[in-house]
Amino acid sequence: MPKFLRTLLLARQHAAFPVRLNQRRIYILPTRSGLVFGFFLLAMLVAAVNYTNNLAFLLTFLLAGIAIISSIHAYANLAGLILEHGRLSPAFCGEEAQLQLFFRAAGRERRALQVKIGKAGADLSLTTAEGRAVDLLVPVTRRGLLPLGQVTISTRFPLGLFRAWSLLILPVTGLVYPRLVPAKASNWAMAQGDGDGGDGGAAPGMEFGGVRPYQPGDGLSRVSWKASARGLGLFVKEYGSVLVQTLYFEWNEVHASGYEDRISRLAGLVHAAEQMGVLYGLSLPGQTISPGSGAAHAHRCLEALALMPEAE
Amino acid sequence: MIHDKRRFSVVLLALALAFAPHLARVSLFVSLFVCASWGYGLGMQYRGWPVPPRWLRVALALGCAALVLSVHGRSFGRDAGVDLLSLMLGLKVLESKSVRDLLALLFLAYFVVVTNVLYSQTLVMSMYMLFSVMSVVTAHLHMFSAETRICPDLRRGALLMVQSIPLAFLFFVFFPRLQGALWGVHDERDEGVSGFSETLEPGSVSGLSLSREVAFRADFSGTVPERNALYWRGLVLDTFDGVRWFKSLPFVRIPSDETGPPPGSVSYSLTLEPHGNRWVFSLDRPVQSPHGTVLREERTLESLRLLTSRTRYVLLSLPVLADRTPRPGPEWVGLPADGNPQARALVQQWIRDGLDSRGMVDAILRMFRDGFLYNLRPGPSQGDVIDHFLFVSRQGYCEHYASAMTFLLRLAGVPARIVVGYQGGEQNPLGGYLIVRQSDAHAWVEVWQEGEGWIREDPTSVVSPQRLSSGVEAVLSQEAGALPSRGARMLGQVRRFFQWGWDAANNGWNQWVLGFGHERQRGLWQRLGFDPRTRGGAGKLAAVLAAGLGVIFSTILVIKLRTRRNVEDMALVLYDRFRQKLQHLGVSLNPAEGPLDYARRIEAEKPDLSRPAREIVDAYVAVRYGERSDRTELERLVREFTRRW
Repeated sequence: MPKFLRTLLLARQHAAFPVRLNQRRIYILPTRSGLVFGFFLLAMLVAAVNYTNNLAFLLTFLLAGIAIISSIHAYANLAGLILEHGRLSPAFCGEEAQLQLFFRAAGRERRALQVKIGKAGADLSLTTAEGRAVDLLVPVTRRGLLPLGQVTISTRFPLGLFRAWSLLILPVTGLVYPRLVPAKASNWAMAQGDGDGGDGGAAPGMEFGGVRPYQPGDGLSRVSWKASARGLGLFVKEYGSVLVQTLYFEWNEVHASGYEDRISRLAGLVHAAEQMGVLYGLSLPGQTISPGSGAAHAHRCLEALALMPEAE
Repeated sequence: MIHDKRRFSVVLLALALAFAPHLARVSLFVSLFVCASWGYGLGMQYRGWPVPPRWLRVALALGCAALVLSVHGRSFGRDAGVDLLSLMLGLKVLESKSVRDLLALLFLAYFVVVTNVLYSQTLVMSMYMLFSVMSVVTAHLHMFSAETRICPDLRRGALLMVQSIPLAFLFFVFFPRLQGALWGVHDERDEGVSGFSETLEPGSVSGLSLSREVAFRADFSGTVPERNALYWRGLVLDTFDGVRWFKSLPFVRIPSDETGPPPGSVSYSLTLEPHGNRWVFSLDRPVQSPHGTVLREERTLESLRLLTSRTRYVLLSLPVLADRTPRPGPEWVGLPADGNPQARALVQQWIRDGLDSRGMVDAILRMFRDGFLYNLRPGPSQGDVIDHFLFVSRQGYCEHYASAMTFLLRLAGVPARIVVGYQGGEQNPLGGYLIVRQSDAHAWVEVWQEGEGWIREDPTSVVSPQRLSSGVEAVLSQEAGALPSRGARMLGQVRRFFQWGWDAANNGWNQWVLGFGHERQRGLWQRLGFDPRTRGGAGKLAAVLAAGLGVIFSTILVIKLRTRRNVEDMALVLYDRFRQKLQHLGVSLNPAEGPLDYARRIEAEKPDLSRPAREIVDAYVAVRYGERSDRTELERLVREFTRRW
């Protein structure tokens, strides 16, 4: 394809919400089975001509008419469809981000639409006045801001002889958190050592945030289920002098093998600390996030990590 | 595209419907094979029977193909083709595992529907074909619609078909028809051949054909002649061997009179049902020979090819044709040298009485009128069949009378011949045309008279005038002797009315669909004002076709793109207007949010708007999800809201 044509087509694909599919955005071409059907029609026509059989002519033309009209149906199945809204939820790198697209039928029934982005796809049918969200899981492989890329909405309805499709580049940008690397015990120690030291009698470095690893003999009522849920073993609540501990995760003090690994490990620490429900702060080159907790705080920290500049 | 058990069954059902008319036509082993493999295919889907291994399928395919070839030999035509197609249908089911296989089956099913019409094109069969196309389209749709029920796809299939009819019609009218086949088509006749034969045997057991089957239909452009004058010439029998009359004289062609319609002539079109011979029936007597026929010297029309398909002719006849032919040769008075002594004695007596040719005709008719009976089942006779009829049984039908009269005249040296054809016909008031049936078959006599030529004499008319005025059936019912009751008569009227309607529908179908060939197409084009032979005409034709396509296409596009504005949608439009207004007022839009959540959020974000917003949301919910179908309340609230804020 010539370059200018490609640019032209790409320019057409950029869309702003709400996107209404119209003739400028919809392409339609016969499918391979459509071409095979055409070949069958040709064979029928030859038979009709050869036997000068008018009923055979009539049937052949009826089938040709059906094929042609089916292209209108395929087009109409997409035309006027409204893509009202799209949202890409944040996800950790290496996992799948959830893309939610909200479609509105806008006055006509829509059958067997296929929404596709990359390798992820979903099917969708809508009744006349229905609005419905479609969820797609998009694999993400790079931290940072993720422009959605090209979304294909296509249909082969009604007879599979034609495929109508629309290519859209939507104004949806997702955030990809860094790849998660589980927190190391030594890094926990480092974070904890920065705060007020624990003097609760437990082994140094193993006590943090009011919980400590489970030891035989601890009563079940003391198990912190919330802290244990991350899968790193059982934790029990510490009752003692230390009530709430504040953790500081420092860019320079984290043991890591490289720039990206450092980011990943910090992300792992943030994630684990959030899961345990303790207060934590983050200090990165150029910015510091004061301690806090909760989903919004975690997002702030992870976003800061995700948006760290690329390594030199 | 989905391939599952139900879709497989639906496709198989559509295929079976399309194939059903073929079941009795294909070779026995083929239909057995198809049924067996379909049964096995169902077993594969529902019972998990194993897919036959590839080598077995290949072996089956080769074996069956070899069998088909051995059955049909070298004449590879329609029948062999359908046999092979059926085998493919059977084999394909055995390997249909993927969506593509299922699609291939569907396409084959479409093809099967079309092959059906190579065998039968009656109106009933055409309706069945339409039904099978409909079922195949439905199965086809069902594969692509992601629908869990078949009913919506049935509706969509019907819609698709209805919308494609205008296009089909346009193609049908404008696709150029050729005048012959592309390559040789074997004459595989399937339509019934009439009971009419080229010989006439007065003594034979076979009575007159009483079949109600249609021989031909005639449509007069002017007034229809009196029933008594409707003599339809078929062929002239010129030779008698003592048992039967037949045609033996050589073919002599006379030129068609193309000088224009002579005064008193009758113009009509005649659509002949296929009878497998060459004769073309025409009203007594034809003066022109239409394209594809020749006029014989004895004024009968003969087709240049065997009539194996329904054919339409435009004919011109002159009911009173005094052609003043000179005295014909001795072959027209030829008879066997002996036999029928009593008839010979009778004629000798008349000659001694000094009767001339006219007197002879009168004497014969007088004899028939006094003391002869019209009887459709006179019983067989042997030996001197003419003597037996004239002096023993003294009853019979048209064949007996015509043959006896011709025999007597020829004995007296008067040139005479037998004409066989049809007499009469039933006027169909619903179609405005005449139906002539096999039961209208008739035989009469033509006598050569000095200075006049060949004159028609119908001896049957003096014996049974009713035969001519009302037809054979009237004679029969009179013979039966029972007068039908009033109820039965009314019932008969109703039945006849339906028969007429049905025949008119069939005739219209034959004329306008099946009979739409090269000639009719050219005629229609010319009437529409373009002659494709000229350059401008062809251009006009293409322009009209393109315009027609464009109009149809865009009309259907517009119909299809029309959105449905029902109450619910109007409610949605109003609700959208409300939300947009709120967006301007600072309440952000979240499309995935339900109306009740939305109302709660408005309450939180804009407490001053909460009351009117709650009213609107309640009204919207009531119309959209509740029982209320009246949207005026919602309309009023939204209008007030947008005006006020």
